Amino acid sequence: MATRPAPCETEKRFEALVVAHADFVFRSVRRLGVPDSLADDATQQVFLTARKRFDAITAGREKAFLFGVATNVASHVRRTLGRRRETDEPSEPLADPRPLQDAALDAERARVLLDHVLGTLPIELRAVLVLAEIEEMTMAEIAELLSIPAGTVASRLRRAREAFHDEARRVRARIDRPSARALFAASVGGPTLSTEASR
Amino acid sequence: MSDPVSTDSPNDELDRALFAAGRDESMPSARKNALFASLGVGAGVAAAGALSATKVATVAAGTSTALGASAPSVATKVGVAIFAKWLVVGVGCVALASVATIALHPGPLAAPAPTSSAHLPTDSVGSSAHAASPRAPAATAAGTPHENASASAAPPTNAPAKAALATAVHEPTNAATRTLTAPTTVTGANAARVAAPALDDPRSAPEPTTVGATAGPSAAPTGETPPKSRSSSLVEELALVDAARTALLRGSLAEADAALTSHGKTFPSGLLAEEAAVLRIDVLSRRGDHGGAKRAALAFLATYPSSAHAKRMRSYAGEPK
Repeated sequence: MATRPAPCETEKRFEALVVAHADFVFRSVRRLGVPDSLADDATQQVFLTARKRFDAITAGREKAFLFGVATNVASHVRRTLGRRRETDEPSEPLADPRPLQDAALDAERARVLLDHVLGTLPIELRAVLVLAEIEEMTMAEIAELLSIPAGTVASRLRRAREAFHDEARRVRARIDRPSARALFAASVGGPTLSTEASR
Repeated sequence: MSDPVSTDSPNDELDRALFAAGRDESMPSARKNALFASLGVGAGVAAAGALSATKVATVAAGTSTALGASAPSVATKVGVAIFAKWLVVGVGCVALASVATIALHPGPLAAPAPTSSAHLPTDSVGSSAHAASPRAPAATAAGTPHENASASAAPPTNAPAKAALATAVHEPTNAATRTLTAPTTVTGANAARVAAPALDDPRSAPEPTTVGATAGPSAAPTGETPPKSRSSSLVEELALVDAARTALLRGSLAEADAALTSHGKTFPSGLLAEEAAVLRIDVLSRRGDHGGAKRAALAFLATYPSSAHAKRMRSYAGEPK
């Protein structure tokens, strides 16, 4: 941000930014509550903002900038979409009491569950959890990225994990059938889920 | 699984499996190409595509500095030339008219002209992505069929929206606002794209069907894994409910109703039946059919007494909260 580069140079750097971080931004807006159908536009919006405010992006803090914008864009989308929903409790995509037949819990479905469970967390917990678990950042990196103290990251992360765990367990109770679990484990490549791991 | 955070890592298999699914997600290549095109990042994409990246971003992350530093001027010029060419074609032919019509008809109607133009810059990348299809099986086991299908299906469907965006590239803010506030085209395109791999049930979603039909043959040769019908059913179901929700938000009650009817026919006991029921009641209420909404809400409460939506449904039903 120190010296203003030539326009051409800026354009190249912007391209590099887009190419390098498209997936990151896409995942972020998705995990921050933007439905798949609007994720492309939200991603584009993030980068358009980045281009407009390109001079404000400190070298080395591109991800922080993009995540900040992604958070804003996502909350705008959530507000637009969810005026109806946020006044209530979060939606429950699996509340159908009927049995699940032989539904395969594959990655696609796991993401539906993931987004549902994430959707029940307050945004500040959600952001920390997404950065830690999805983007695999360290607490120090998250603290730096969100400009909050490491202690705050640690406590938010702990609360986020607890809340996530409880909600995931609650959701699973609805779909807890051996066949579903076996399919789930097979499709996500993990070992078979233990019935009651820790509680 | 390595634990990036030192304390309190999730020790539950389910939690970890869900996080892993989230980590494995990347932007489907066709949609990424459309994004690059809309942002005018054609040259960079061409360069990255020439490397035939299996994951464009992974490679690009490594080469981004190289791209920035030694940025191939030839590629840039080619990109600019192509950009200018299709811009001229697009503007000359249908620019304004198509933006308007497309917004009204997200279906295949508007596809031809913008398709060729918007698709040009990304074409080579799209095909190289196909050629370089072998991927890490674990990471993309379920994502792959979907992505492959969308790689071939998406260009025509996404084209109208993206063409409109691309012509507006010089006014980035407007373009973005427009797409965010008026998700018609994108939703239509998305429904089509999402429905494409779900060939097991082509009855649903009238608009997507044609696209799915054309996507079928082209997707088949490239797909290394047959689509998982369950997964694609869920994706398709989600697309319908999603379409209904966005239509309702826009106030297109007829469109929302059509999507919900299609959902009810195709997925009578689908996973999102409750969600669909709620939306149906919302449609009734928005139409001013309060009697109908009340009856439906009462039926809903009988079926889903412990629903998260129960509170709102009770208010429709006129019961105390």
